Amino acid sequence: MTEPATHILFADAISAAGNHCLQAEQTFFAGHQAFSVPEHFAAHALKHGLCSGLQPQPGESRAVALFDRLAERLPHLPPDTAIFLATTVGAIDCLEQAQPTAMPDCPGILLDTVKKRFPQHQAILISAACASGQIATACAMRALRRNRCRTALVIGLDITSEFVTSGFASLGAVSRTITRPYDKHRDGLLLGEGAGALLLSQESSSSALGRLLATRESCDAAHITAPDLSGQQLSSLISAPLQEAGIMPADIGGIIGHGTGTLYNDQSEIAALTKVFGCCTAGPPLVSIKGNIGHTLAASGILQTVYGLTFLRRAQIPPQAGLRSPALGAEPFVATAAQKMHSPYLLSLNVGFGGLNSALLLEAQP
Amino acid sequence: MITAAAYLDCQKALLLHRPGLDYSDLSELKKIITTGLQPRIAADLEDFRRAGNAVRLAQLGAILVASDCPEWSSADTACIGWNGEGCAQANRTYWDDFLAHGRETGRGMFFVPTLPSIPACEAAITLKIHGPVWYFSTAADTGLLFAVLEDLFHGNPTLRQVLIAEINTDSACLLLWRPSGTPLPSCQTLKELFFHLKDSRSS
Repeated sequence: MTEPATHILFADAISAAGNHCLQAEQTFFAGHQAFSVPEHFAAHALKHGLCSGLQPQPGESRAVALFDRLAERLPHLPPDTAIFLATTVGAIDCLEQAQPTAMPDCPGILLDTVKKRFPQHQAILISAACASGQIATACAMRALRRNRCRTALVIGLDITSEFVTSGFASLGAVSRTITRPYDKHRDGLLLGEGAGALLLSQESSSSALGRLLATRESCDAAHITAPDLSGQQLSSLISAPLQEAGIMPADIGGIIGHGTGTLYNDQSEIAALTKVFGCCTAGPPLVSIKGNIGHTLAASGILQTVYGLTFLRRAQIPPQAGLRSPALGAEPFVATAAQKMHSPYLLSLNVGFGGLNSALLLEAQP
Repeated sequence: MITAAAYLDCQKALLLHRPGLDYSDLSELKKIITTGLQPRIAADLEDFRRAGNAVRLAQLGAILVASDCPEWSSADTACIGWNGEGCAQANRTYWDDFLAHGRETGRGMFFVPTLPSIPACEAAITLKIHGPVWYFSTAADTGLLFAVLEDLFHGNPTLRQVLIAEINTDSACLLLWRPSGTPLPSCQTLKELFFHLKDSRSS
């Protein structure tokens, strides 16, 4: 049964691509890789996607400063608005600065910040590793469709930190040079930070920016960090929202992939996309914005939706930043130049540690 | 409707329908589960050896709930973590280890569990649960928990049941739930709900 679409009434994002969506659009379509070495922690020359000019007050979390910057730009929230916050580690710099025995609840600190800003609204925290952003969006869509709230504000936010960089480095996942999603010679991800917000409603509006048609999530249940390289679970997952929305794979105009730039993530994703879309000479155009702004963890799913609206408006998928020579199997999908979207349907993918998968189907505002 | 449930700490496990278990530590519980637990539950405990307490409790608790369920199948199941102690202890453990090694080398085995969703993911891997898996935190009210889970059912027509996990560092409560017309009592924690259900059955 097809569910009524969920309308996106407001969308905004801050990332290394730009402080505003217009700047970010230029970054993406120029294929620019917006990386630099951070000064707020010892990054050992590793580049990161940083939000420019973000300078927290002494003792203030970088996550709180980033949230404050985003919150100043949010519209007035209607009374019956529920808030869904997606984060992985939240205000993790509070742990880095804490006394040796202290155990701050770092995601909880960020949730409390959100609650203080919007005390009249119910707020919940969703954490699903790097799939948090889209799964929070899915939770919001379901709450709206059951009339548990009239509007839903979905926020995704994560920061760069020594904690996270050292952790991903310990897993051998970080590129020592530059990230190249879907490239034959990719050697890892670069981390980034960002914050994004979506205001959603089941009620249509003439000023709506786009529509969320369907969403699904699943778990590989195979390995805690490694994806299922066959792409079996992910391909089944991708098919489900398409079926729910009554859309054939050939109708998909473009894909924003998870595309971390690690060997295994991209291989798994390419295998899944090949299963769904076939091995034809030209599949739907695919891009990973992590080639431009790095892996922003829980924010990535929200940023993909926010920036995806820009791609839908232009009916173009931007060039894949960092791409030199497509990985085996990625040739039908990725390109070094912008690609035209032949339809108003955009598929967005998130995956995360634990084998978590999420697929979200967007449609351009008719 | 709660179809099966388990509450466990590092010395004992209580089940909703079946007799409880006593053990000296979680390694002994694992031995009991893998050698003598009836009915036998197909489970992957490959990550148990290197896991911290939160993950071990989630893995073993998941198997106990499955064994408590009259007709267990992992098909069309979700696994959702809710509240509990989250990841503060795991974060501290990773960071202390990183500092102790001169801020040069983090260790992946300590880094991965720093995400609050990891215990639920490990429970899902243990039982091969392929449905939705994530963690969420709300005010301490099971009414809010079940409202979100009812949403999840509404959006996933093939979903049959949800394994809910409330994980702390030294105890865990896991319930197998499916929607029904019968309301559950409002509690602050799953542990409170478990003992309410257990008391209701024995009275």
